[in-house]
Amino acid sequence: MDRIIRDPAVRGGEPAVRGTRVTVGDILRELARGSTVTQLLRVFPLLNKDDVAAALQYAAVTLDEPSGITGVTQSLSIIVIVYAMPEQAKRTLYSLSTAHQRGVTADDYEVLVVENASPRLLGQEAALRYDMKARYFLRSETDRSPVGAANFGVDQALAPNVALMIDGARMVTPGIVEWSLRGLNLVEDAVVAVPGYHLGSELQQRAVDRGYDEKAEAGLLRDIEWPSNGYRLFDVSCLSGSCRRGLLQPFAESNFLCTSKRLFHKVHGYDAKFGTAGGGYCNLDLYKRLCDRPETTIVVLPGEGTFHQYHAGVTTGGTRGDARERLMEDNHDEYASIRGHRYKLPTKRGILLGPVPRNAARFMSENQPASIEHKNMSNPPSPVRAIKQAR
Amino acid sequence: MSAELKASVVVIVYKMARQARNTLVSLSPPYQRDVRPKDYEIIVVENSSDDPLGEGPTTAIADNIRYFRREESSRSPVDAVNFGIAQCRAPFIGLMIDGARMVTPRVMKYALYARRITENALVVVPGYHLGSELQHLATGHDQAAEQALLERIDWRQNGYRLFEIAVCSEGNTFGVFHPFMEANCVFFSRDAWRRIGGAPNGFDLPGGGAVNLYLYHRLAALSESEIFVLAGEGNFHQFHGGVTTSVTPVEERESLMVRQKDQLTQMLGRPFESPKREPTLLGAITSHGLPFLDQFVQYGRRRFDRFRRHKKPAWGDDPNPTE
Repeated sequence: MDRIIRDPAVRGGEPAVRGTRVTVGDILRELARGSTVTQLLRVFPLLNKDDVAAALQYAAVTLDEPSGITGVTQSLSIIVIVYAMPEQAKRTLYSLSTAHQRGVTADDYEVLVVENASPRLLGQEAALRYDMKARYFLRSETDRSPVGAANFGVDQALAPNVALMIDGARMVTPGIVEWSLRGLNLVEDAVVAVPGYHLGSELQQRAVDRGYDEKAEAGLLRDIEWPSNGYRLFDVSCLSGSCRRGLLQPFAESNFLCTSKRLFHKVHGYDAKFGTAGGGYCNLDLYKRLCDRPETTIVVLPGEGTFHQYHAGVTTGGTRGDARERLMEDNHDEYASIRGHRYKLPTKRGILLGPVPRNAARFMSENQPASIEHKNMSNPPSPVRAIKQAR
Repeated sequence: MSAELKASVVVIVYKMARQARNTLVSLSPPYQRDVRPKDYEIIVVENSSDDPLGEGPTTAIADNIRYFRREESSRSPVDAVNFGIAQCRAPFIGLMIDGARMVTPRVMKYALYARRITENALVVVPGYHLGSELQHLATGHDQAAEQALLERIDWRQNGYRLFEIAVCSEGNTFGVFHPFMEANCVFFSRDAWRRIGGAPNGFDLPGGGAVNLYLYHRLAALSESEIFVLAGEGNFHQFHGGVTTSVTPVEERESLMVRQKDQLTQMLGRPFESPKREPTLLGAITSHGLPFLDQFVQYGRRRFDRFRRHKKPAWGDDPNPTE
């Protein structure tokens, strides 16, 4: 499918053979007229047999789609990995739906929910109730790592591009799909990275020691009247550890990580050797391998974000104090033993793309005092101390 | 050739041979990085003067430059602008109405990126003045001082070092989170240019008066326009005795500014206001440009906080801002 692309600048975004202006429709019409493939290749000398096969496969898959809308296919398959986080996943999925996303329609993307079985199941019914094209897969995974589920999700993806959300507890901002698609279309081998945040005024692994929990978080979301304006999440959040140097410095990972499927497969996807609970550094490792390839261009969306909801995740609050320290060391060691060297941040400079909502501008510099305008936190739970002080 | 051309950049030159040479070098390959010479053409329109650049020296700079000399009697560049744009062979047009503005090395790359995102891209490159203060205030700044500054940073090797010897232009003093008043290096579609009707002849004051503010205002007001600001790039004004950018007696400059403002109001049919459309940031930020961006963030936060206090939208002209 990678040979077939949709580029707004080419034939109005009709699916077309990469590097040409020949659409899938052109090929089908020529064949329908009775041309043989050999004759067709004479009509369109830029094509080869594999292109024709790819166009036919593309058309076949499109016909198979549940919507049944011929000629319309998504450009992006968003893969959301869920494990024991039903309430958080619901908010994540709502934030991905067309009710919340702007500038795109349901035809532009699909969401694949891959759930690893747990006693706290999201389930198919809840997963598929939002306004968007979605499919649900339940896996009876025995592995403690999400790597298998993520690679499985990519295998199911119908679109030529994937957005990987390895932690389904991360809600997203309203322009994330639109600007990811635009970023992917910017250049061949684009990798779109969206900065990560934690809800609350400090990282949740620390906040949890001060009493931060799901209830406190619900209060924050109420304060900003989420989801009426998804960009207000910036008002009540802080940068994730992986982006702590601000939006202009390299990130360690992205929890909405977009690439073409072709590029994902070229780097062999997530590495199954990352077997620790939560996958250890599997997401950092994939992102670093993508960054380190000379042909890739990193596109950073400074005005969008993924926002981690508290869910007792392995490293984001579910493991406390010394135990977390040991776990982080284990993750670090696992990386070193798999790659043969210690982990280092990627160094490739990202290209910024997108409007920056006023709530997000502060994260562009390294010094990011909290918003002084978040006034309706009259009775804030303890972790919003910094926000309160800044007022 | 024209089938492959992605952009045509029009540069208006008048009485500024040294400065225009720098501008054209900065617009040309290989100084412009990650673009192919055949991707764009540079249209130089020179109005005759006693300090001409000339065709030979111009076309020697790069193969993708086309040169046109005009015997212009008007004091305004308006005719030259309309003429230059009529020569463009690409559907995407860059305009530098003051040929004395050098640019950073990835202006072309990111302008073309914006065009890939949408045919309605209106691309703005923030403006700066060379020197340690705005040139009309800078008594110690002259051509020799500027030449020395440029030599010191060896700008041909790394054009981003221009940030080290510059201050923000008045048109965008507070940076990328404030509305721009004008754009001295701006890209738009041929279609957008047709729709605003080109540059009106009514701007007949020396230097064209406020025609540049008018053009940006009209382009930004087109509902389909999407504004892209190349936050890590810049255009840098070189000293050249320009009408409003060089030191003149204070009263003289002020009186000219009043006439410019009146003419702009008349041409727009209402008082001028900077277009408050939300910009899309595009491009990488180099370490050289970072201090300016840091400053812009601080200015931007103050502005956003002020608007929020007054319960006003920060981008009031935008049909669909992110706030």
